[in-house]
Amino acid sequence: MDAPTSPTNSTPRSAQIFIQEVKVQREKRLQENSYPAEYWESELVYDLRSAGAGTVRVTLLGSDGFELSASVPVSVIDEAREAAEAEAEAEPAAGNGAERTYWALDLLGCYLVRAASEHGVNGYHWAHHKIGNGLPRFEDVEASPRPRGQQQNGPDSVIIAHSKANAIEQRLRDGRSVLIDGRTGSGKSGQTALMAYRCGRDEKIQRIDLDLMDTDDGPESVLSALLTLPAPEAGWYLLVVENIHASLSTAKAVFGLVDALRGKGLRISVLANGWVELNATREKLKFLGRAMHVQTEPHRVVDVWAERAGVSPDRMDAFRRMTGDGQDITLASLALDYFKECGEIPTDAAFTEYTAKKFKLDGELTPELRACLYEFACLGSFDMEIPAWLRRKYVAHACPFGELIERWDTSYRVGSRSVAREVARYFHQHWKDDPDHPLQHPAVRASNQLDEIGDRLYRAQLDRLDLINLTRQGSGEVGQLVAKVWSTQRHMIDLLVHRAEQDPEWGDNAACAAFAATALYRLGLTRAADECAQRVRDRWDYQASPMPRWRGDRPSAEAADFEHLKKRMKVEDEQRAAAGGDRQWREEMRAERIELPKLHRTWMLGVLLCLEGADPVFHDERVEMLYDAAEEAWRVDGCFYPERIPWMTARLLLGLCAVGKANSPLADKAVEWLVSWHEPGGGRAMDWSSGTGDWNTKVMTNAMCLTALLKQGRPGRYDQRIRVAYSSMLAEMEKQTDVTRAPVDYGLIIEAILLQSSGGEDRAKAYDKLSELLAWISSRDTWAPRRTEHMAIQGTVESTELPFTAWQVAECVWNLATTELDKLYREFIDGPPDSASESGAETSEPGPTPGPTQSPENAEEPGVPEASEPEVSAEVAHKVRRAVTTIRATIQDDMAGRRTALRSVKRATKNRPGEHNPLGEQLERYAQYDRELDDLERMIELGPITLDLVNALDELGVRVLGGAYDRCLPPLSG
Amino acid sequence: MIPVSLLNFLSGLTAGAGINLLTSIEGGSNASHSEIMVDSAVWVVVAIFLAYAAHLTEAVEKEASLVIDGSLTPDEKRQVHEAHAASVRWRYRISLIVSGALSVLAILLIPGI
Repeated sequence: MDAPTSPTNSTPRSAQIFIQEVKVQREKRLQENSYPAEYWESELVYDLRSAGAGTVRVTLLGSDGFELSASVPVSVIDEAREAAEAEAEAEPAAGNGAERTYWALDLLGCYLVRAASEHGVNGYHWAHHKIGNGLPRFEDVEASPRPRGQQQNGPDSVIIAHSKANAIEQRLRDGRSVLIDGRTGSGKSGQTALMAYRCGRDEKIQRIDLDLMDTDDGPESVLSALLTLPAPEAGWYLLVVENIHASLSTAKAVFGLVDALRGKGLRISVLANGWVELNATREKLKFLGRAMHVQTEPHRVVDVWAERAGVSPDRMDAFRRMTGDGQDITLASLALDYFKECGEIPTDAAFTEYTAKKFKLDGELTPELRACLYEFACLGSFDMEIPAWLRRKYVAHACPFGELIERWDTSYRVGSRSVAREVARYFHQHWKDDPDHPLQHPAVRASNQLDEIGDRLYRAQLDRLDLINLTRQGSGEVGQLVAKVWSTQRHMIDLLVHRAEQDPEWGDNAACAAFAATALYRLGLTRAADECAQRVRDRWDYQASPMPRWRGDRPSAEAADFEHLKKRMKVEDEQRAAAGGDRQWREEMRAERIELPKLHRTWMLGVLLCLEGADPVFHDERVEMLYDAAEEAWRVDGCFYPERIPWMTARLLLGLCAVGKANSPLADKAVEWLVSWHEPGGGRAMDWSSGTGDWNTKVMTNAMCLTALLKQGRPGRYDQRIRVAYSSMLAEMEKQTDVTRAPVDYGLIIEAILLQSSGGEDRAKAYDKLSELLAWISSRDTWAPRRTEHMAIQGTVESTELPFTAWQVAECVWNLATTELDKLYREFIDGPPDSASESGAETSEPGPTPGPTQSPENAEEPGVPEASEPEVSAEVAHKVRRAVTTIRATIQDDMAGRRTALRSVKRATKNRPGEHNPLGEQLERYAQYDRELDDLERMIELGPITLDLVNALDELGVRVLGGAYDRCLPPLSG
Repeated sequence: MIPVSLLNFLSGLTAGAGINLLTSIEGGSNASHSEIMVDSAVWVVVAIFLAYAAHLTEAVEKEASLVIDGSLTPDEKRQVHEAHAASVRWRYRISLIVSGALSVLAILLIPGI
C-alpha cells in the first residue's frame, strides 16, 4: 500500500480545512479510546491530491487493506464542509469537541454518499482495491436466498410465524431495523435470507451483505457498497448483517453509520441476526435502537418432523434432548435420518459416529487431510475464521467434502456449528492418541488459533464469551464476572490512558512510566504505551555497564521509595538484633551497608525487562543488552543484589520470563537460588520474607516469588515447596480483608492464585478480590491528582502503586478471560460438567458437611469424635483443610531430605549408621506424624469437624512446623 | 579433623622448602648435591601427603553439605559429618602420620645438621 501523504498545497483550502477537521476529530476519538477495539488497527488515512481542474482525488486508505478512491468535484468537498459546520453549530454540545464529532469515516463517508447520489459522483468511478470479504457479491443480490444446511428441507416459514414474517417485511419496507435471534442451528440464517428475498421479490432494491464473522467486514464495507452500487430503483437499500454476536463493537459501528446515513436522508433498512444470548443483555444492544426483535421458534418444525418420521411420544423427550431441546434443526435432521435408518434415537456416541459417516469421514483419510478437516471443524465449532493458510491447504487437497464445507465469500467453513462440533469430537476421539499424528483437544486448537490470530480477534471472541456467560448454565458468578470485569476494565483503561497522556513521564518517575507502558501494552493500547515507554528508554541508558543507568542530574522520582525502604530495613535489623541469636543478616546485608543506587538499578533492570517483554514489537538489541546486564549482575554477586530481598530476584526472573528467557541458564540459577533462599538462622525456606521490614509484606513477597516460579514454568521438584508457600500466602491473605489498603499485594496475590489454582474456592476468592481491586482502580477518586504523590512522599505507599496495580489487574483480567474461554470451549465440545460430579465436588467445599459415606465401621473407629461434639465454623474448617495440606507437605519434604541424608550416611558407613542415629530417629518420628495426619485427615473427610479434631491438628502442626505453624484455633487456655 | 586451610598451608610450606633446597644448588652451596636432592624430594613428598589429607577433608565436607539442609537438627548434621569422616578416617590418619614422619626425616637430612 502506498504511504499516506498529506494534502498538497494544490488542494483547495476549503477541502483542506474539512479534511483537517476530520483528522482532528478522529485523533480525539483515538485519544479518548472511544473507537471500538477493531478500529485500533484500522488506521484510516485521508489522502487528498489534486486531480485536475475543479476536482480533487480523495483516497481512503486502511491498513487492513481498505482502499477507496475517486475524483470528486471541489464543490462536493465544499458542500461537505459547509454541512459539517452547519451541523456542528446546530449541536448544542458543539463546543465540547468530543460530543460534536462523528466518527471521521462516518462524517466523510456520509457526505460523500450523499454527494454521490446528488451529483452523480458514481460517474467518476470509485475504485476499490481491496475491501472486506463482505463486499456484496452481485450474483447473490440477484439470486434467491442462500439456503444453508438443512433449511433446504424444512418448512422455513414455520420457524418464524407467518404473521411475524409479514410484520418483518413491512418494517423493512418502512426503512427500519429488525433483529432475528435464535440458538445455533435454529435457522436464523435461513430465515434472514428468506426475509431478504421477500423484500426484493417485487421491487428492485439494492442489497448489501455483511457477515461479522469475517473480521474484514465493517462500516467500510457498507460505505464501499453504497458508493459502488447503482442507485436502487425502489429507492431503498437493504443491509443484511449476519452474526452480530461475532463482534458487537463492529455491529455498533455499522449501526452508527446507518443512523448517520439515515440522518442524511438515505433510506436504508437493516436485517440482522445473532445469538439468542443477545437478549440477555439489552445494555449491549442499545445501538440497535428500536429495532424489532424476533426469535426463531424451530421446535415446532422439529416436532412436526419427528411426528412425520414416526417418533413415538415416549421417545419424544429423548429426541428433543438430542436436538438441544428441539432448538437445533441441523441436529434434528441428522437425528431423524439416524432414526429412519436404525429405528431408535441415537446416543451421543452413536450420533457422533453417524455424523462422521454421513459426511464420509469414516473412510481412509490421509493424515494431512484429516488434520486439515479437523482444523476446519475445531475453528468452525467456535465460529472462528479460517486462516488463509488453511484455506489454501483445503484447496490444495481438493477436499471432496462439499456437503460438509461450504464456500462463504472468499473463505470456506463448516456450514453448521453443531455439525462442526460433532466432527471435531469424532476426529479427536479417534485420533487423539495416534502415535504419529496425535490431535490436540479442540479447545486447545481454538485457543492456539486465537493466539496466532492475535489480540483483536481475541477481544471479539471475549465479547462473545460475555454473551454466552450471561446465559450459560452453571457459569454462575464467575461467568458473569468476566462480563463485569471486562466492562469495568474499560474505566480503568480510560483513567490510565488519560493519566499517561497528561504526563507520559509520570512526574519524572521512570518506574511509573514503565509500569504504565507495560499495562498499556498488555491492554493493546500501543500508541499510548509507546509514548510512555519512549520516555523510559530516553531516561534510562540501556548500554551503561554493568546495568542500565539513569540519565539526569536529579535521581528518578521512584528513588525516594528506596530511601523509605532503607529506613524500614534498619528497623528490621534492629528488631532482629533485639531478638538475638543467629537471626541477624550478615554484615554486608545490613541496612547501613546496602548500596541504594545498586539496589535501585537492579530493580529497574527487572522492570525494564518486563517492559521490553510486553512491547509487541520485540527489540532484540535492547533485550540482549538487558539480559547481558542481568548476567553480569548475577556473576558479580551470585544472586540479584541484595541477597536479603528475595523479591528482587523474583522481579528479575519475571523480567526474564517476559522477554522469553525463561529457559535460560540465568533463569534456572535464579529459580534454584529462590527456592533455596532462607532467612538467617537456618530457618526453613518454606516461604519468603520481604527483607525490607514492613515496607513490603511477607504475603506480597510470597506472591511475587510464587508468580515468578510459576511463570518460569518448570518448578518440577519444587512443587512441594510451592504448595507450602501457596498455603502460607492464602493464610496470610485471609488476615487482611480490605483490598484497597494493599492493592499492590492483592494484585500479586490474585495473579499467583490464578496461575496456581485451576478452580475451586481459592479461585472464586481471587475473583472476588479481583472485582474489588478493579472497582478501586477504576474509581476516579483513586486517580485523584496528588493522592499517590502525597502518600508516597510520606512513605505510606509506593509511588508506583497505581500503574503497577493497573498492570497487575490487566494481567489478571487477561488470565481470567483466557481461562474462562478455554473452559467455555471445553464445555462446548465435551458438554457441561456432570451435575453428579459437581455435587460431589461441593462436598469438598469448606463448611461442616455431614459425612454422606459414614459407615458404622467408621463410627466405631477409635478416636473418631462423637457427632454430638461441637462443630467448627466454615472459616475454621477451611483453615483446617489448608493446614492439612501444609503439614503434609512439610512432613513429606522433611522426610525426603532425611531419607537422602540417611542414604548418604549408610553409604559412608557401609550400612552401619551406628547406635546413635538421630536421622533414623527423626525419620521414625516423622513417619509417626504422617500416620497421625492420615488419621486426622480421614476423620476430617468423614466429618463433622469438631473442636477436638482441630486442636489435635494444631498440636500436630506445632510439633511439625514449630513456630512457623499458623494455628487454626487459638491455643486452649489451661 | 584439621582444617583444610591449615593443611593446604603446611603443604605449600613443605613444597616450598623442597624447592628452595633445589634452587640452593645453583646458588653455590658447598653441600653435596645428591644430599640436597634427596632432602628436597622428601620435602616434596611430605607436601604431597599433606595435600592428600586436605583433599580428603574437603571431600568429606562437600559430601556432607550436599545432603544437609536447614531442616536438619544439629545432631543430625553432626551425624552426617561424622559418618562421612569415618569413611576416610584411616586414609586420613595414615597420610598425616606419614607426613609427620617424613617431616622429621627431612629435617634430619638437611645438609649440615
